[in-house]
Amino acid sequence: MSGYSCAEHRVEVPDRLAGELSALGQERFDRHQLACASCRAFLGSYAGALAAGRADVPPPSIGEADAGWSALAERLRAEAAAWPDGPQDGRQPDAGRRPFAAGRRWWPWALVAAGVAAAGMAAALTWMIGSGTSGAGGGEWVSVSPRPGLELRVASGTDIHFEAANAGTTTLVLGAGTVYARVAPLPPGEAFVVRTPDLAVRVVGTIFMVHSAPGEPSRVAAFRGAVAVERAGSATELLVAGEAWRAPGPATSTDERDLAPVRDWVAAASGAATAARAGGTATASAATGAATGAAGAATAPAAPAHVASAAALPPAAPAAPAALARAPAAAPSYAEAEAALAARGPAAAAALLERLVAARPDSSDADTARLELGRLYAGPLARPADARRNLEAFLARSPGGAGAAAARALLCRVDPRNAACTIVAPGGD
Amino acid sequence: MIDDALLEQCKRGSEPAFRAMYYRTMPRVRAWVTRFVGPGAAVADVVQDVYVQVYRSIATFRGDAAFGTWLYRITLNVATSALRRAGRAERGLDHDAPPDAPRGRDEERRLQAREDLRRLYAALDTLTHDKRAAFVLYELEGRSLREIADITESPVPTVAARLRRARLELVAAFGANAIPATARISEDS
Repeated sequence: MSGYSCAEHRVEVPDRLAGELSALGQERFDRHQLACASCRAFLGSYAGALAAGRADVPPPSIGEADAGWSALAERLRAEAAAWPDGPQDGRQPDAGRRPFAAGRRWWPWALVAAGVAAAGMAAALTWMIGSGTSGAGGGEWVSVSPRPGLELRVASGTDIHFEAANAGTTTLVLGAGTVYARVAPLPPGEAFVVRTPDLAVRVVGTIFMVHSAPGEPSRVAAFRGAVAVERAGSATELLVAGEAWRAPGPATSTDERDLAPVRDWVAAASGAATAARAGGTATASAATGAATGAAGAATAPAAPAHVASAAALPPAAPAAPAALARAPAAAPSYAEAEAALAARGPAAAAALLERLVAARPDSSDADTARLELGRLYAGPLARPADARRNLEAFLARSPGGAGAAAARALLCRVDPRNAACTIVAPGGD
Repeated sequence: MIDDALLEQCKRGSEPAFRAMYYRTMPRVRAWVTRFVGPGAAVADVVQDVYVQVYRSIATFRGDAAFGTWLYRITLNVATSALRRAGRAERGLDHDAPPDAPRGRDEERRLQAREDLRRLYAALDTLTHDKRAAFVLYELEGRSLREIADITESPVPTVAARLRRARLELVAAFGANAIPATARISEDS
């Protein structure tokens, strides 16, 4: 062994761990290991550090992802506002489609928005639009974005105003008419509520519609995420995307008439695939353009999407001319599930995550959803069989990916005899 | 990583598309950043910087490389800049073992993993950024030399040389940190 020092030996440690030593070199290495306690300690320490560095990085919680997005979006909006010349290559994206330029989309309403913001939503905004009341899907629509993350489309003749903000809750009072709202996921503790004479609709991040008419029960429809409908003396109704409800009946599916005024919002939220599934002629980019809104379209910024979607309706069946095609239920996003978790608890979140998995089983979002379902079922929902089903599916698709170690640990918790429990991370005992 | 339709919408400046892209890719970007700079509070800031850079540059993405490679390249550049700015300042490591690992035997292992990580990143801090990138991508991420060459836009032999030097320097740095001086004896005890 003479001529082979500890220093030379340690230089070969990475090669030995990578299996890159020759047979002779490996034999010499191993012989030294047997004889030298300090080099054994060094090898163990080095290998342990590498194993720690290679270990799965725990995935971010949904809350962490949402907080990251909120901070990023705020920063990008500020950058967009201070950066009139566009991205660094000097190429200006399509007019009106630059992201994060909040406030430009609804410039005719900038004064209204500023007024609302200045008053903190405190009874500052009351307006009557046009004349005559219009039902959902009909008439003209006015778009307004009273604050970042909140966009409204209001039917002509609708009577609405904001109530004073209270403990993180922003309340829009709908006297009569129809309002659609697109609400970006709100921070924990905040909520947006639309109140009519007979109910209140509470959301933390979704797209939905409320229609109120004198003497009739209000009608509510959800297109993305979920909304909670509260009525005095009644249990809270939870509507998920694709469902509509009017007291006292059961929830039904949303119909094309409900969807038409905000088809672009839903398409933008769901991406091009959903836009195609919706069967409209509007492409995803056109839908995005409609969502962005053209300058000067203050009286009817949604009109193109509305007209296009109405023209694209499938022919009515002769036996039921009033029947309209059912809008496909849009798959909820992971962020919406997180919002549901914060607002309504694990059961609501699990329902949305299950829908996400069913709608897009091969997506990376579905993989993440399976892991989160495993957590929820293994923990607060106490459904070990469902936890096992989701975690095994997750591991089947991502056996070595991020989150695999956490999935195995959860599996061991609900099923200690599961084969995954026998897998020990590198460097483990 | 993301489909072409979503990418095109991002390039046209759709905020919903950018948001979708963020949610889809952020877990991986965060893992990359964590492995490169080491776990700690700075990770979230670096991740945000990555997406700001993506926002500024996405219109220039022509598809010459895969989107994932392009995103990794940005991540690496931003993380490297962050390390330079920090001057390899002391970082607060808060990396834990997998969060839901079974309890019992695990506490000691968790503490050991934490200490192992602290030593690993202390040693990595002694490397140049090029060598650090080669080591992290090859040894921790499991990337091939070819992939690393694409990401770093360097020839494969250059990457291989950096990796070799990184291993040697890391062993030297790690040895100095890991083994008590009294144990660093010459051989054949």
